[in-house]
Amino acid sequence: MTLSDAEKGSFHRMREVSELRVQYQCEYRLYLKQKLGDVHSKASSIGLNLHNHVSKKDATQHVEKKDNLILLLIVIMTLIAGYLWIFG
Amino acid sequence: MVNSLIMMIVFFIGVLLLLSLQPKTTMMTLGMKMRRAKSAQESLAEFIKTKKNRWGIKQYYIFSEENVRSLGHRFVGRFDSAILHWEDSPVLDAIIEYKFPVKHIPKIARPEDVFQSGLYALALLESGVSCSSAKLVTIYCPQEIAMSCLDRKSTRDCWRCGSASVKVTRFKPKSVLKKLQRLDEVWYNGRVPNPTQEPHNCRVCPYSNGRCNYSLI
Repeated sequence: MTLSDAEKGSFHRMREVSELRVQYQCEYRLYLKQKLGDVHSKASSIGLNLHNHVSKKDATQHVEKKDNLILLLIVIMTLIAGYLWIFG
Repeated sequence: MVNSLIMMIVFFIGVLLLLSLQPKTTMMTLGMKMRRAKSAQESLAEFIKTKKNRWGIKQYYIFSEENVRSLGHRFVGRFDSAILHWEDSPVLDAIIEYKFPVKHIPKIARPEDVFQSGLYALALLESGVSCSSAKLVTIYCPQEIAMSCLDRKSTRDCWRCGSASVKVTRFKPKSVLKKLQRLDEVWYNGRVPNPTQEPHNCRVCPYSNGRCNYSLI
């Protein structure tokens, strides 16, 4: 994801991971991007929208967990089984 | 006798299950970590510098859309998601990147996607996060399917969506550094940028349509 200068803060002169990714794909593509300006295809715009959608979902989905209840059940089941095995 | 045997088996299965749920054991799979992780209530920077208490240590946290920076290698970026937990120091379990190809899902993770995730992990490594067992997870889902999956009012994660393909790679800092050093030659040593020799890189390049003299398609 591309960061704005404001988001980079005092690090606005640093390279972006997205630039390095493009350069890794094709060094000349990054050169053209810097020389001719960024070009967005329809597919990349859709991809960006999907990213934003996923991020919003991610932020809300991991709050409620049922794992604690499952963990408690496993502990109780194990203790009962252990008790019955030894003393039963 | 039979009852005692059954109870013994149930007891050992229970113990194994409890062990597998502990962050410090290697028995917990990445999928389990992703399911168990809960949204962090603090920023990544605060998480890294604040040592967790005993209970916090047993919890995996998922961070979304956090900025990372590498002062040593002069880059900044923002990852999609990352899973971390605390031991003696913060530990990175996985960097998760979502990719939405137009049609085809690659059979293995694309090198540029692995490199991108590797850069995020490298920045975290520089910030004092242990990355010795970190995994780079790339989740591919075709755009059309991702749109219909995300539009549904289901609570399923994107990575659990039927057609998504999850590719997992181990984070190898030396490999990322080697690739980065090669790119640095263009940035800092004046090396002339080379065009790719791979036609599939030209197929996804917005400049290959008449604006690039070296296009292979």
